[in-house]
Amino acid sequence: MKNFQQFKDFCKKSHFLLFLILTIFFLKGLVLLTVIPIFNGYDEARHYNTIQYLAESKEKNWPKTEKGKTDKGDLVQRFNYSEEIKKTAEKIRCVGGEDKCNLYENNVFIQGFYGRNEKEINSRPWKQYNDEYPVNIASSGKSLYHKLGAEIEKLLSEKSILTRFYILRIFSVIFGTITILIFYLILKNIGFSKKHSLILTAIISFQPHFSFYYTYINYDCLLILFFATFVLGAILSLKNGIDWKNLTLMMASIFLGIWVKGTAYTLLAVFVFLISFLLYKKLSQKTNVKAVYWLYFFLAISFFIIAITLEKYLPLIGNFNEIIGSFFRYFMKNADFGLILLSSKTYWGTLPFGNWISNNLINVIWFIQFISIIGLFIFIFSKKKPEFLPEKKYAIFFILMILALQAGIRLADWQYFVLNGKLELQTPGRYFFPNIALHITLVFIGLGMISKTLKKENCFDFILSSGLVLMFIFFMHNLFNLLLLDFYL
Amino acid sequence: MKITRFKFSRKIFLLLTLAIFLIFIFLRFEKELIFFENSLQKNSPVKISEGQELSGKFESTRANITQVEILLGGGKKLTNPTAVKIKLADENCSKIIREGSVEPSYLKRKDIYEFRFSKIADSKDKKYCLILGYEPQKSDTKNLQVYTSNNQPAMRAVYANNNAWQNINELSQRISQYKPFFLKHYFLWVIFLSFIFFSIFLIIVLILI
Repeated sequence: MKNFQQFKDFCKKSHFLLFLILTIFFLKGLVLLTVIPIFNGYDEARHYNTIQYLAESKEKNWPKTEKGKTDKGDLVQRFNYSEEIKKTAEKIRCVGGEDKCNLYENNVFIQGFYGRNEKEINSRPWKQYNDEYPVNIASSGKSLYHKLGAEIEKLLSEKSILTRFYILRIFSVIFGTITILIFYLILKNIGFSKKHSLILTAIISFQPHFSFYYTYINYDCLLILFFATFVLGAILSLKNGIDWKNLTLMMASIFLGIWVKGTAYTLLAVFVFLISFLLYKKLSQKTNVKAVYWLYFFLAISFFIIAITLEKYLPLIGNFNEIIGSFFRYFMKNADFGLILLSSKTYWGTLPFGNWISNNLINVIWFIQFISIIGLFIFIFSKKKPEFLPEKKYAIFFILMILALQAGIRLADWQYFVLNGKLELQTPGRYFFPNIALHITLVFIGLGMISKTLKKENCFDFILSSGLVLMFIFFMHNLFNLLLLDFYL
Repeated sequence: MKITRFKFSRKIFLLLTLAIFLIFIFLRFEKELIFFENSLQKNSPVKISEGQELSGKFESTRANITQVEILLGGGKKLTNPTAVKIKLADENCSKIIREGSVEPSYLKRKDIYEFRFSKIADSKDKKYCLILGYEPQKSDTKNLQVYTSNNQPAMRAVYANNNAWQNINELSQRISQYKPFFLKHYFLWVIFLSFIFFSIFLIIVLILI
């Protein structure tokens, strides 16, 4: 009996629960990276080829052939990748796109734990380097993620492609596990109790599509981590004021984030606003000049710095009328309910279209978010906040982060539209994952506020626990009723 | 005291919700644990109109055949799949063994439709005849498009095993293929089971604390 009580007490310790959440995220990552066949992540063959290209010897003294992109074959065979990647994909015959492993021409499975062509693949008979040019690589091979990946690829160069590929996927899961830890620190530091921070962290960690995303070879895995470290630095600055630690954390996150992917330029914009805001607060208290003048001054300075720094990334081509015209054309192209629905669906999971459960799950999520938005409005404009919710300044900062990323992605999409005359990048839900923790936190702040407004009794615990149960069920549905069936049955 | 009891019942409610949904998910998963053997070849479609029948023969390579998957629709989802009537007969197409209508397979997308029936235990190495008929309602299109392969409907047989354990084992074999050793077989089992166990444990603890 005494031992059981000790066990119960131990289970309640926040350090144990945090460790458990991180362990589960890692195990979940291992489950998913095993279930999802090779090269089935978004542009995964391209990202892996970039890593292989960077791991090649510098001399590159082998014969090369010039070859354009073809429309024949699956998503791997169409592009200039290394012979090893193409042949492996051909032998496994299970590459994404519309026709997944269990459809049509593919006949991949035999009895036993080893695939029909596995021995051949493991004997490494093919060239592990690129000889078809121009080589198809991501970000011109300059991303920090690919450079780190290339070091792992070099270390394991004598191993089979299956070992190298899946170890790189495991590194993505490790980045994800660190990101989850940072999310917890963010939640704890903005004022949630330890218990609420743990439940919210667990909810975020079970978001299905986010979980899948952290099992792919893709530079976004590292980008999301740097977004998280930036947010941690920013909220610590809002909490304790700017010091060298917070400043270093934010600046390092921006620098490394941009090194990983251009999306991190949005962090630079937020950083400028944040610093301006903190300076405004300090100066408006210490000088006799009216606070509103300081506000205008710092807003003007912020916009000026952002415009100068990010000018080349803005789709400002032609005179004022032409810019307005191009924006209007872009806006009209995007004013399509199907596109909005697509963003939402692809944000939440691998949900098949035309399926009753999937469609209604999205409706339920939208309903919850709608209720939450009402709560958020009440939260921001009310004078008193419930003691179990964080201060308003953090919620406003989270909204600013979400708006900044939205603006950044839409501007990149608009710029592509201006240069190419068509929508191609679009805005799949995964582009918004860097802010997933902030988004989910805002949803629960809104729901918490609604619960406080409607009832005197605090039922925030119940709301959070319900959210956790629903998110976990949603994940399990995605894994057992969709993903496993999609690939193997 | 009342408040304590009220809070306790909320926790019980959440635990029950978790249990019910998990049971539902695992039951649904168990129902779908059936295995195709061959690939589907997709060639040009043929049309059959009301009253017409199209048949094709195939050999069952395993025991416990329980489903046949057919490529229908000519690129579109059928508005009323139940209008497609299917019969499974012996190899002479004379004695009807099973009959029913198709269901769309939303998981496998595209044009695959499933004809599910109670499993036939002694199906190994036996030949069967599949007969497709179309009985459109007023709102349906006049013709049914069926993809063909080697002059018969494009289809494949799907099998169950004798029990759930064998099904799980076959699934673990499939997942293990083309994976490095540390993600195969026993490693895979340990990873999967520890994930499920620890996740449920975590959620229960977070609800109860």
